[in-house]
Amino acid sequence: MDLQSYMPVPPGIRMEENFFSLDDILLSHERLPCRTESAFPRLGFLEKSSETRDIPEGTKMEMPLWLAKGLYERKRQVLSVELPKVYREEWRTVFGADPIVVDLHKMGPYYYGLGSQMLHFDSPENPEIANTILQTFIGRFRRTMDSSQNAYNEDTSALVERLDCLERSLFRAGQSGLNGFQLWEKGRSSHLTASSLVINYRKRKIADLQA
Amino acid sequence: GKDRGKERADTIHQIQAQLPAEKPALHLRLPVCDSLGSCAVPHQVHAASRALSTGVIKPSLSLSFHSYDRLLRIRALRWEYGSVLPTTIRFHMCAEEMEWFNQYKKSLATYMRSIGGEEGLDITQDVKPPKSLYIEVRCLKDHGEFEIDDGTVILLKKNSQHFLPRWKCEQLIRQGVLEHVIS
Repeated sequence: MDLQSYMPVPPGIRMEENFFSLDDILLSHERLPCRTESAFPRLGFLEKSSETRDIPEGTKMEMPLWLAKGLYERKRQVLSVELPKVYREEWRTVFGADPIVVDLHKMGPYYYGLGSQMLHFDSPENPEIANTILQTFIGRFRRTMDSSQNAYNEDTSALVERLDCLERSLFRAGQSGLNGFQLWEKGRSSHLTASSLVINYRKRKIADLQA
Repeated sequence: GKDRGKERADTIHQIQAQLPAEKPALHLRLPVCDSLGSCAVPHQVHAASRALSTGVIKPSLSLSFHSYDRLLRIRALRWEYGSVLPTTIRFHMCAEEMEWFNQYKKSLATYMRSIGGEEGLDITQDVKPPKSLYIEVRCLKDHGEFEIDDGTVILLKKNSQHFLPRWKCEQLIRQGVLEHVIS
């Protein structure tokens, strides 16, 4: 196994977002349907379709998660956030019936991450949402784990294309362990190799020269 | 899956495109905390000021992420490459990053001296379990003369093969100069 010296910040657990996690930053750009519960004077530029200077109370608009989180307040009526389709009752029943067949990558690549963040907005359906996310994960985990531990030296794109980002990182971790084990079995775990950073850098330099 | 590098670059470009050319004149101190609920600020001003302060913090987050990620990679270079970085990489680092790298090197060296008895312990060596004292290596590029512990000088010419002490070769293998040959 390669020396793991570049360790990027992982995404946050549960309802937390890690400040320096690339996954969490990208997740926070997902757009949510919202409704303003108060007027936003002079902020008309936030809503691209409107021509007005102000945003009146009761406007329905889309906002990225980071802005919605920044504006939302439990005690004050500033913003109400609607649940995206995937977390509503109809889809929750689908997940309950058979979580394995759903294409979670298409349903928003951050199904678990966004679902956890939605819990910040105090929807009355929060317990059901949280439970569905959990049960979906449990239902799908076995297959992800099995496939990551048995796909050795082959094209895995068909296996990962219906997985969301969290599941993909689990899959990668499983593959990494499998490859390390295989190397050990072949007696190559003491084989010294060039650092992957060096190899990538060299590839990039050649690409620059060719450009 | 998505291409992380491109996504990162795109995110940064989006943010930079949205930042105003000049610094906006923010005369108001923007309240961010919830305790404002108790004070007599008009409702709409409160909402607007929260929007503004969130909007100011968010772009700076993306830029500081970029700087932080660079530092993580520079730190990884100390382990992957060694304590002397090649000029090609140094060329892409700013002065502050170089300073950070030197400080990190020093901290690591101090720590390594403090463990493993009198001579300290180089934990950047023997990253993979060693099986033999000497190993067969092939030279991948010309690297000039190389002196080993007993005084012998070896000429590392491209494609030449040698039987050398493992601890002398480890770093050169990681740097891609030598290749560990297993028969």
